[in-house]
Amino acid sequence: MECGVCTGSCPVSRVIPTFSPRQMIKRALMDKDDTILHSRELWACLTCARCSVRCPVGIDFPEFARVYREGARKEGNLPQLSHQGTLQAIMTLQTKNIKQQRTAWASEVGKFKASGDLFFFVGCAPYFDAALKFGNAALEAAKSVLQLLNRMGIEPVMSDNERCCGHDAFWSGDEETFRVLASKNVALIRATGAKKVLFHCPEGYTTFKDHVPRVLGDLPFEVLHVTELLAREIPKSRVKFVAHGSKGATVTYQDPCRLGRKAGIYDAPRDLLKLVPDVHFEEMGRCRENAQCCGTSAWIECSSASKALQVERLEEARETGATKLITACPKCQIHFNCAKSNTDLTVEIEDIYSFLLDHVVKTTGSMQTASPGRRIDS
Amino acid sequence: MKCRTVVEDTWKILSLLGIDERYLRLKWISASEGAIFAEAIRSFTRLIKEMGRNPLAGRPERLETAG
Repeated sequence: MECGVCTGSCPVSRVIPTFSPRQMIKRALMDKDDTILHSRELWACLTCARCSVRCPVGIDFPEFARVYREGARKEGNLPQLSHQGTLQAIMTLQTKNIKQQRTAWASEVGKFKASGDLFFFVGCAPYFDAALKFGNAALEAAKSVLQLLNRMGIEPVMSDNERCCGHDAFWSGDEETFRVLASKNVALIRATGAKKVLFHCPEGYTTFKDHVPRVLGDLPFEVLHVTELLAREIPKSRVKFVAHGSKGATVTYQDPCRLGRKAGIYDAPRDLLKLVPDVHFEEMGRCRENAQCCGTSAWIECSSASKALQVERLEEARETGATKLITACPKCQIHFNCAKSNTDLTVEIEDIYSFLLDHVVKTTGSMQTASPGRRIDS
Repeated sequence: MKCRTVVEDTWKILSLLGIDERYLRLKWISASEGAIFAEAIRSFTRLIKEMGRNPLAGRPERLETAG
Protein backbone atom coordinates (compact mmCIF):
# COMPACT_ATOMS: atom_id res chain seq x y z
CA MET A 1 0.00 0.00 0.00
CA GLU A 2 2.95 2.31 0.40
CA CYS A 3 3.88 2.14 -3.27
CA GLY A 4 1.27 4.64 -4.46
CA VAL A 5 0.77 2.99 -7.86
CA CYS A 6 -2.95 3.71 -7.45
CA THR A 7 -2.51 7.44 -7.04
CA GLY A 8 0.16 7.51 -9.74
CA SER A 9 -2.23 5.77 -12.15
CA CYS A 10 -5.31 7.78 -11.26
CA PRO A 11 -6.49 10.18 -13.99
CA VAL A 12 -8.34 12.31 -11.40
CA SER A 13 -5.21 12.65 -9.20
CA ARG A 14 -3.34 14.01 -12.17
CA VAL A 15 -5.84 16.84 -12.58
CA ILE A 16 -6.71 17.31 -8.89
CA PRO A 17 -3.45 16.62 -7.01
CA THR A 18 -5.19 16.50 -3.61
CA PHE A 19 -7.21 13.46 -4.67
CA SER A 20 -5.30 10.36 -3.63
CA PRO A 21 -6.68 6.82 -3.60
CA ARG A 22 -3.70 5.69 -1.49
CA GLN A 23 -4.37 8.32 1.17
CA MET A 24 -8.05 7.44 1.19
CA ILE A 25 -7.39 3.76 1.85
CA LYS A 26 -4.91 4.69 4.56
CA ARG A 27 -7.37 7.06 6.16
CA ALA A 28 -10.08 4.41 6.11
CA LEU A 29 -7.75 2.00 7.92
CA MET A 30 -6.38 4.43 10.50
CA ASP A 31 -9.28 6.74 11.08
CA LYS A 32 -11.63 5.56 13.78
CA ASP A 33 -14.16 8.32 13.09
CA ASP A 34 -14.77 7.35 9.50
CA THR A 35 -14.21 10.90 8.27
CA ILE A 36 -14.00 9.40 4.81
CA LEU A 37 -17.77 8.90 4.88
CA HIS A 38 -18.19 12.65 5.07
CA SER A 39 -15.59 13.54 2.47
CA ARG A 40 -16.36 14.95 -0.99
CA GLU A 41 -13.46 13.02 -2.52
CA LEU A 42 -15.32 9.79 -2.09
CA TRP A 43 -17.52 10.87 -5.01
CA ALA A 44 -14.66 12.04 -7.23
CA CYS A 45 -13.45 8.51 -8.08
CA LEU A 46 -14.46 7.56 -11.65
CA THR A 47 -14.38 3.85 -10.71
CA CYS A 48 -12.43 3.46 -13.96
CA ALA A 49 -10.23 0.71 -12.45
CA ARG A 50 -6.96 2.05 -13.83
CA CYS A 51 -5.58 1.77 -10.28
CA SER A 52 -6.94 -1.64 -9.42
CA VAL A 53 -5.67 -3.43 -12.54
CA ARG A 54 -2.18 -2.23 -11.65
CA CYS A 55 -2.24 -2.67 -7.89
CA PRO A 56 0.53 -5.12 -6.89
CA VAL A 57 -1.44 -6.32 -3.86
CA GLY A 58 -4.83 -6.48 -5.55
CA ILE A 59 -6.65 -3.65 -3.79
CA ASP A 60 -9.91 -3.00 -5.60
CA PHE A 61 -10.21 0.74 -5.08
CA PRO A 62 -13.42 1.21 -7.13
CA GLU A 63 -15.10 -1.41 -4.96
CA PHE A 64 -13.70 0.30 -1.85
CA ALA A 65 -15.22 3.61 -3.02
CA ARG A 66 -18.54 1.93 -3.82
CA VAL A 67 -18.86 0.32 -0.41
CA TYR A 68 -18.00 3.56 1.37
CA ARG A 69 -20.50 5.39 -0.84
CA GLU A 70 -23.24 3.18 0.58
CA GLY A 71 -22.19 4.32 4.04
CA ALA A 72 -21.84 7.95 2.98
CA ARG A 73 -25.43 7.95 1.69
CA LYS A 74 -26.67 6.85 5.10
CA GLU A 75 -24.72 9.74 6.63
CA GLY A 76 -26.34 12.19 4.23
CA ASN A 77 -23.21 12.67 2.12
CA LEU A 78 -24.64 12.60 -1.39
CA PRO A 79 -23.09 13.02 -4.83
CA GLN A 80 -23.53 16.04 -7.06
CA LEU A 81 -26.00 14.91 -9.73
CA SER A 82 -25.32 15.84 -13.34
CA HIS A 83 -28.09 17.02 -15.69
CA GLN A 84 -30.23 18.22 -12.75
CA GLY A 85 -30.69 14.65 -11.57
CA THR A 86 -32.93 13.78 -14.55
CA LEU A 87 -31.20 10.47 -15.15
CA GLN A 88 -31.42 9.46 -11.50
CA ALA A 89 -35.14 10.33 -11.50
CA ILE A 90 -35.62 8.13 -14.56
CA MET A 91 -33.77 5.26 -12.86
CA THR A 92 -35.85 5.56 -9.70
CA LEU A 93 -39.14 5.73 -11.63
CA GLN A 94 -38.20 2.46 -13.31
CA THR A 95 -38.28 0.69 -9.94
CA LYS A 96 -42.06 1.36 -9.88
CA ASN A 97 -44.80 -0.55 -11.62
CA ILE A 98 -44.89 1.30 -14.90
CA LYS A 99 -45.69 0.24 -18.43
CA GLN A 100 -42.92 1.69 -20.54
CA GLN A 101 -42.90 2.29 -24.29
CA ARG A 102 -39.20 2.03 -24.96
CA THR A 103 -39.00 -0.05 -28.13
CA ALA A 104 -40.90 2.27 -30.49
CA TRP A 105 -37.63 3.16 -32.26
CA ALA A 106 -36.89 -0.51 -32.96
CA SER A 107 -39.99 -1.30 -34.99
CA GLU A 108 -38.95 1.51 -37.36
CA VAL A 109 -35.58 -0.02 -38.20
CA GLY A 110 -35.67 -3.74 -37.77
CA LYS A 111 -37.28 -6.94 -36.65
CA PHE A 112 -37.51 -8.35 -33.15
CA LYS A 113 -39.80 -10.67 -31.23
CA ALA A 114 -41.36 -11.18 -27.81
CA SER A 115 -39.82 -14.52 -26.91
CA GLY A 116 -36.88 -16.60 -28.01
CA ASP A 117 -33.35 -17.62 -27.14
CA LEU A 118 -31.50 -14.34 -27.51
CA PHE A 119 -32.55 -11.24 -25.58
CA PHE A 120 -31.19 -7.87 -26.71
CA PHE A 121 -30.89 -5.66 -23.62
CA VAL A 122 -30.94 -2.15 -25.05
CA GLY A 123 -30.32 -0.23 -21.85
CA CYS A 124 -31.10 3.42 -21.28
CA ALA A 125 -30.25 4.73 -24.77
CA PRO A 126 -33.85 5.82 -25.54
CA TYR A 127 -33.84 7.89 -22.36
CA PHE A 128 -30.40 9.37 -22.96
CA ASP A 129 -31.47 10.83 -26.25
CA ALA A 130 -34.61 12.34 -24.75
CA ALA A 131 -32.88 13.73 -21.67
CA LEU A 132 -29.58 14.96 -23.12
CA LYS A 133 -28.76 17.36 -25.89
CA PHE A 134 -26.28 15.43 -27.95
CA GLY A 135 -28.35 14.29 -30.88
CA ASN A 136 -29.50 10.72 -31.16
CA ALA A 137 -26.07 9.23 -30.68
CA ALA A 138 -27.05 6.67 -28.07
CA LEU A 139 -30.05 5.38 -29.96
CA GLU A 140 -28.16 5.22 -33.25
CA ALA A 141 -25.89 2.61 -31.69
CA ALA A 142 -28.85 0.48 -30.61
CA LYS A 143 -30.47 0.86 -34.04
CA SER A 144 -27.26 -0.21 -35.72
CA VAL A 145 -26.93 -3.27 -33.47
CA LEU A 146 -30.46 -4.37 -34.33
CA GLN A 147 -29.86 -3.88 -38.04
CA LEU A 148 -26.55 -5.73 -37.95
CA LEU A 149 -28.20 -8.62 -36.10
CA ASN A 150 -31.06 -8.70 -38.60
CA ARG A 151 -28.58 -8.73 -41.47
CA MET A 152 -26.92 -11.74 -39.90
CA GLY A 153 -30.31 -13.43 -39.83
CA ILE A 154 -30.79 -12.95 -36.08
CA GLU A 155 -34.09 -11.65 -34.75
CA PRO A 156 -33.56 -10.88 -31.06
CA VAL A 157 -36.08 -10.60 -28.25
CA MET A 158 -36.71 -7.05 -27.03
CA SER A 159 -39.08 -5.75 -24.42
CA ASP A 160 -40.89 -2.55 -23.51
CA ASN A 161 -40.66 -3.58 -19.89
CA GLU A 162 -36.90 -3.71 -19.68
CA ARG A 163 -35.61 -1.56 -16.79
CA CYS A 164 -32.45 0.39 -16.21
CA CYS A 165 -29.64 -2.10 -15.50
CA GLY A 166 -28.89 -0.36 -12.19
CA HIS A 167 -25.21 0.22 -12.97
CA ASP A 168 -25.28 3.86 -11.92
CA ALA A 169 -27.32 3.24 -8.78
CA PHE A 170 -24.89 0.47 -7.82
CA TRP A 171 -21.77 2.60 -8.28
CA SER A 172 -23.41 5.53 -6.51
CA GLY A 173 -23.85 3.37 -3.43
CA ASP A 174 -27.62 2.99 -3.87
CA GLU A 175 -27.86 -0.76 -3.54
CA GLU A 176 -31.58 -0.75 -2.78
CA THR A 177 -32.50 0.76 -6.16
CA PHE A 178 -30.01 -1.57 -7.83
CA ARG A 179 -31.59 -4.65 -6.25
CA VAL A 180 -35.12 -3.72 -7.31
CA LEU A 181 -34.06 -3.00 -10.89
CA ALA A 182 -31.97 -6.17 -11.10
CA SER A 183 -34.77 -8.44 -9.84
CA LYS A 184 -37.32 -6.90 -12.22
CA ASN A 185 -34.95 -7.34 -15.16
CA VAL A 186 -34.06 -10.93 -14.31
CA ALA A 187 -37.76 -11.82 -13.91
CA LEU A 188 -38.55 -10.19 -17.26
CA ILE A 189 -35.75 -11.96 -19.13
CA ARG A 190 -36.61 -15.28 -17.52
CA ALA A 191 -40.23 -14.88 -18.68
CA THR A 192 -39.13 -14.51 -22.32
CA GLY A 193 -37.33 -17.84 -22.11
CA ALA A 194 -34.06 -16.34 -23.31
CA LYS A 195 -30.90 -18.37 -22.75
CA LYS A 196 -28.50 -15.63 -23.79
CA VAL A 197 -28.66 -11.92 -23.13
CA LEU A 198 -26.89 -9.56 -25.46
CA PHE A 199 -25.63 -6.14 -24.34
CA HIS A 200 -24.11 -3.40 -26.44
CA CYS A 201 -23.69 -1.05 -23.48
CA PRO A 202 -20.57 -2.11 -21.54
CA GLU A 203 -22.14 -0.96 -18.27
CA GLY A 204 -25.17 -3.22 -18.61
CA TYR A 205 -22.85 -6.04 -19.61
CA THR A 206 -20.55 -5.87 -16.59
CA THR A 207 -23.48 -5.20 -14.28
CA PHE A 208 -25.17 -8.43 -15.32
CA LYS A 209 -21.94 -10.36 -15.55
CA ASP A 210 -20.42 -9.37 -12.21
CA HIS A 211 -22.82 -7.51 -9.96
CA VAL A 212 -26.31 -8.92 -10.51
CA PRO A 213 -25.19 -12.49 -9.67
CA ARG A 214 -23.64 -11.12 -6.49
CA VAL A 215 -27.02 -10.01 -5.16
CA LEU A 216 -29.37 -12.46 -6.88
CA GLY A 217 -27.21 -15.57 -7.25
CA ASP A 218 -26.54 -17.45 -10.49
CA LEU A 219 -28.51 -16.16 -13.44
CA PRO A 220 -30.70 -18.44 -15.57
CA PHE A 221 -29.04 -17.09 -18.74
CA GLU A 222 -25.66 -16.39 -20.27
CA VAL A 223 -24.43 -12.82 -20.68
CA LEU A 224 -22.81 -11.79 -23.95
CA HIS A 225 -21.40 -8.56 -25.34
CA VAL A 226 -22.38 -7.59 -28.89
CA THR A 227 -18.73 -7.11 -29.94
CA GLU A 228 -17.95 -10.69 -28.86
CA LEU A 229 -20.88 -12.06 -30.82
CA LEU A 230 -20.17 -9.96 -33.92
CA ALA A 231 -16.42 -10.65 -33.92
CA ARG A 232 -17.16 -14.38 -33.79
CA GLU A 233 -20.13 -14.55 -36.17
CA ILE A 234 -19.70 -11.81 -38.77
CA PRO A 235 -16.71 -13.44 -40.51
CA LYS A 236 -18.86 -16.58 -40.95
CA SER A 237 -21.93 -14.65 -42.07
CA ARG A 238 -23.01 -13.13 -45.38
CA VAL A 239 -22.26 -9.63 -44.06
CA LYS A 240 -19.30 -8.09 -45.85
CA PHE A 241 -17.73 -4.65 -45.56
CA VAL A 242 -16.49 -1.99 -47.94
CA ALA A 243 -14.70 1.30 -47.21
CA HIS A 244 -17.20 3.59 -49.00
CA GLY A 245 -16.30 7.21 -48.21
CA SER A 246 -13.84 6.21 -45.48
CA LYS A 247 -11.27 4.87 -47.96
CA GLY A 248 -7.80 5.70 -46.70
CA ALA A 249 -9.13 7.28 -43.50
CA THR A 250 -7.60 6.65 -40.10
CA VAL A 251 -9.71 5.69 -37.10
CA THR A 252 -8.83 5.11 -33.47
CA TYR A 253 -10.62 3.36 -30.65
CA GLN A 254 -11.52 4.35 -27.09
CA ASP A 255 -11.60 1.39 -24.70
CA PRO A 256 -14.58 1.94 -22.40
CA CYS A 257 -13.55 1.23 -18.79
CA ARG A 258 -16.31 -1.33 -18.30
CA LEU A 259 -15.62 -3.22 -21.49
CA GLY A 260 -11.83 -3.07 -21.23
CA ARG A 261 -10.44 -3.13 -17.71
CA LYS A 262 -13.61 -4.50 -16.10
CA ALA A 263 -14.58 -7.16 -18.65
CA GLY A 264 -11.24 -7.73 -20.39
CA ILE A 265 -12.73 -7.32 -23.89
CA TYR A 266 -10.02 -5.56 -25.87
CA ASP A 267 -9.62 -7.59 -29.04
CA ALA A 268 -13.19 -8.10 -30.24
CA PRO A 269 -13.86 -4.42 -31.06
CA ARG A 270 -10.44 -4.09 -32.71
CA ASP A 271 -11.03 -7.24 -34.77
CA LEU A 272 -14.34 -5.78 -35.90
CA LEU A 273 -12.81 -2.46 -36.95
CA LYS A 274 -10.21 -4.31 -38.97
CA LEU A 275 -12.96 -6.05 -40.96
CA VAL A 276 -13.56 -2.80 -42.83
CA PRO A 277 -11.05 -2.79 -45.69
CA ASP A 278 -8.92 0.23 -46.67
CA VAL A 279 -9.47 1.91 -43.32
CA HIS A 280 -6.35 2.41 -41.25
CA PHE A 281 -6.59 1.63 -37.55
CA GLU A 282 -4.24 3.52 -35.26
CA GLU A 283 -3.94 3.04 -31.48
CA MET A 284 -3.77 5.98 -29.13
CA GLY A 285 -0.71 6.12 -26.87
CA ARG A 286 -2.75 5.03 -23.88
CA CYS A 287 -4.87 2.09 -24.93
CA ARG A 288 -6.22 -1.24 -23.69
CA GLU A 289 -5.43 -1.60 -19.92
CA ASN A 290 -3.89 1.88 -19.92
CA ALA A 291 -6.76 3.63 -21.69
CA GLN A 292 -8.05 6.79 -20.13
CA CYS A 293 -11.63 7.02 -18.92
CA CYS A 294 -14.04 9.39 -20.67
CA GLY A 295 -14.06 11.55 -17.56
CA THR A 296 -17.32 10.91 -15.71
CA SER A 297 -19.37 7.97 -14.58
CA ALA A 298 -22.84 7.27 -13.20
CA TRP A 299 -24.05 10.79 -14.12
CA ILE A 300 -22.47 12.25 -11.01
CA GLU A 301 -19.73 14.73 -10.20
CA CYS A 302 -19.08 16.12 -13.66
CA SER A 303 -16.36 18.68 -12.95
CA SER A 304 -13.58 20.70 -14.49
CA ALA A 305 -11.46 17.57 -14.00
CA SER A 306 -13.89 15.64 -16.22
CA LYS A 307 -13.65 18.27 -18.93
CA ALA A 308 -9.83 18.38 -18.71
CA LEU A 309 -9.62 14.58 -19.07
CA GLN A 310 -12.05 14.54 -21.98
CA VAL A 311 -10.29 17.27 -23.95
CA GLU A 312 -6.92 15.63 -23.26
CA ARG A 313 -8.27 12.35 -24.61
CA LEU A 314 -9.73 13.99 -27.71
CA GLU A 315 -6.36 15.59 -28.40
CA GLU A 316 -4.71 12.21 -27.99
CA ALA A 317 -7.12 10.87 -30.60
CA ARG A 318 -6.26 13.73 -32.94
CA GLU A 319 -2.54 13.03 -32.55
CA THR A 320 -3.03 9.60 -34.09
CA GLY A 321 -4.17 11.35 -37.26
CA ALA A 322 -7.61 9.79 -36.89
CA THR A 323 -10.66 11.50 -38.28
CA LYS A 324 -12.88 9.29 -36.17
CA LEU A 325 -12.73 8.24 -32.55
CA ILE A 326 -14.73 5.03 -32.33
CA THR A 327 -16.10 3.84 -29.03
CA ALA A 328 -18.30 1.00 -27.84
CA CYS A 329 -19.99 2.84 -24.97
CA PRO A 330 -22.90 5.28 -25.28
CA LYS A 331 -21.64 7.29 -22.32
CA CYS A 332 -18.12 7.73 -23.73
CA GLN A 333 -19.79 9.00 -26.85
CA ILE A 334 -22.01 11.48 -25.00
CA HIS A 335 -19.18 12.72 -22.77
CA PHE A 336 -16.74 13.24 -25.62
CA ASN A 337 -19.35 15.01 -27.72
CA CYS A 338 -20.11 17.31 -24.81
CA ALA A 339 -16.43 18.16 -24.28
CA LYS A 340 -15.84 18.55 -28.01
CA SER A 341 -18.60 21.16 -28.31
CA ASN A 342 -16.40 23.62 -26.35
CA THR A 343 -13.31 23.10 -28.49
CA ASP A 344 -12.33 23.50 -32.12
CA LEU A 345 -11.38 19.82 -32.42
CA THR A 346 -12.80 18.17 -35.49
CA VAL A 347 -12.36 14.48 -34.66
CA GLU A 348 -15.70 12.78 -35.10
CA ILE A 349 -16.99 10.51 -32.34
CA GLU A 350 -18.89 7.47 -33.50
CA ASP A 351 -20.09 4.22 -32.02
CA ILE A 352 -18.57 1.06 -33.39
CA TYR A 353 -21.92 -0.40 -34.50
CA SER A 354 -22.93 2.58 -36.63
CA PHE A 355 -19.43 2.62 -38.10
CA LEU A 356 -19.76 -1.05 -39.06
CA LEU A 357 -23.29 -0.66 -40.40
CA ASP A 358 -22.26 2.32 -42.54
CA HIS A 359 -19.64 0.14 -44.20
CA VAL A 360 -21.71 -2.93 -44.89
CA VAL A 361 -21.71 -3.94 -48.55
CA LYS A 362 -25.01 -2.89 -50.04
CA THR A 363 -26.55 -5.67 -52.04
CA THR A 364 -29.59 -5.82 -54.24
CA GLY A 365 -32.74 -7.76 -53.52
CA SER A 366 -33.82 -8.30 -49.98
CA MET A 367 -30.76 -6.63 -48.45
CA GLN A 368 -31.32 -2.94 -48.68
CA THR A 369 -29.17 0.02 -47.75
CA ALA A 370 -28.58 0.62 -44.11
CA SER A 371 -30.24 3.98 -43.84
CA PRO A 372 -32.03 4.46 -40.53
CA GLY A 373 -35.79 4.20 -40.57
CA ARG A 374 -35.84 1.46 -43.14
CA ARG A 375 -36.95 -2.07 -42.58
CA ILE A 376 -34.37 -4.56 -43.64
CA ASP A 377 -34.32 -8.22 -44.54
CA SER A 378 -38.04 -8.04 -45.14
CA MET B 1 -37.52 28.95 -25.81
CA LYS B 2 -35.44 26.94 -23.36
CA CYS B 3 -38.57 26.24 -21.34
CA ARG B 4 -40.37 24.77 -24.34
CA THR B 5 -37.39 22.50 -25.08
CA VAL B 6 -37.21 21.28 -21.49
CA VAL B 7 -40.94 20.57 -21.38
CA GLU B 8 -40.86 18.83 -24.76
CA ASP B 9 -37.99 16.63 -23.54
CA THR B 10 -39.93 15.84 -20.39
CA TRP B 11 -42.93 14.81 -22.51
CA LYS B 12 -40.63 12.45 -24.40
CA ILE B 13 -39.37 10.95 -21.15
CA LEU B 14 -42.90 10.61 -19.76
CA SER B 15 -43.97 8.86 -22.92
CA LEU B 16 -41.05 6.40 -22.69
CA LEU B 17 -41.91 5.72 -19.06
CA GLY B 18 -45.52 5.10 -20.08
CA ILE B 19 -46.84 8.01 -18.01
CA ASP B 20 -49.71 9.99 -19.58
CA GLU B 21 -48.12 13.14 -21.06
CA ARG B 22 -51.25 15.14 -20.24
CA TYR B 23 -50.10 15.29 -16.62
CA LEU B 24 -47.69 17.99 -17.79
CA ARG B 25 -49.09 21.05 -19.55
CA LEU B 26 -47.34 24.10 -20.98
CA LYS B 27 -49.11 27.36 -21.76
CA TRP B 28 -47.97 30.97 -22.05
CA ILE B 29 -50.30 33.37 -20.26
CA SER B 30 -49.58 37.03 -19.70
CA ALA B 31 -49.94 38.62 -16.25
CA SER B 32 -52.84 40.68 -17.64
CA GLU B 33 -54.78 37.60 -18.76
CA GLY B 34 -56.26 36.62 -15.40
CA ALA B 35 -59.40 35.07 -16.84
CA ILE B 36 -57.46 32.97 -19.31
CA PHE B 37 -55.16 31.78 -16.53
CA ALA B 38 -58.12 30.84 -14.32
CA GLU B 39 -59.78 28.92 -17.14
CA ALA B 40 -56.54 27.13 -18.01
CA ILE B 41 -56.11 25.98 -14.42
CA ARG B 42 -59.79 24.95 -14.17
CA SER B 43 -59.63 22.87 -17.31
CA PHE B 44 -56.32 21.32 -16.21
CA THR B 45 -57.81 20.44 -12.82
CA ARG B 46 -60.84 18.87 -14.52
CA LEU B 47 -58.58 16.83 -16.75
CA ILE B 48 -56.38 15.68 -13.84
CA LYS B 49 -59.50 14.59 -11.94
CA GLU B 50 -60.74 12.67 -14.96
CA MET B 51 -57.39 10.94 -15.43
CA GLY B 52 -57.29 10.00 -11.77
CA ARG B 53 -54.42 9.64 -9.43
CA ASN B 54 -50.83 9.57 -10.64
CA PRO B 55 -50.19 5.85 -11.17
CA LEU B 56 -46.79 6.24 -9.51
CA ALA B 57 -48.08 7.85 -6.32
CA GLY B 58 -47.26 5.74 -3.30
CA ARG B 59 -50.41 6.00 -1.20
CA PRO B 60 -53.99 6.85 -2.14
CA GLU B 61 -54.86 10.53 -1.84
CA ARG B 62 -58.17 12.19 -2.61
CA LEU B 63 -58.22 15.18 -4.89
CA GLU B 64 -60.48 17.80 -3.35
CA THR B 65 -59.44 20.80 -5.42
CA ALA B 66 -62.25 23.17 -6.34
CA GLY B 67 -62.92 23.79 -9.98
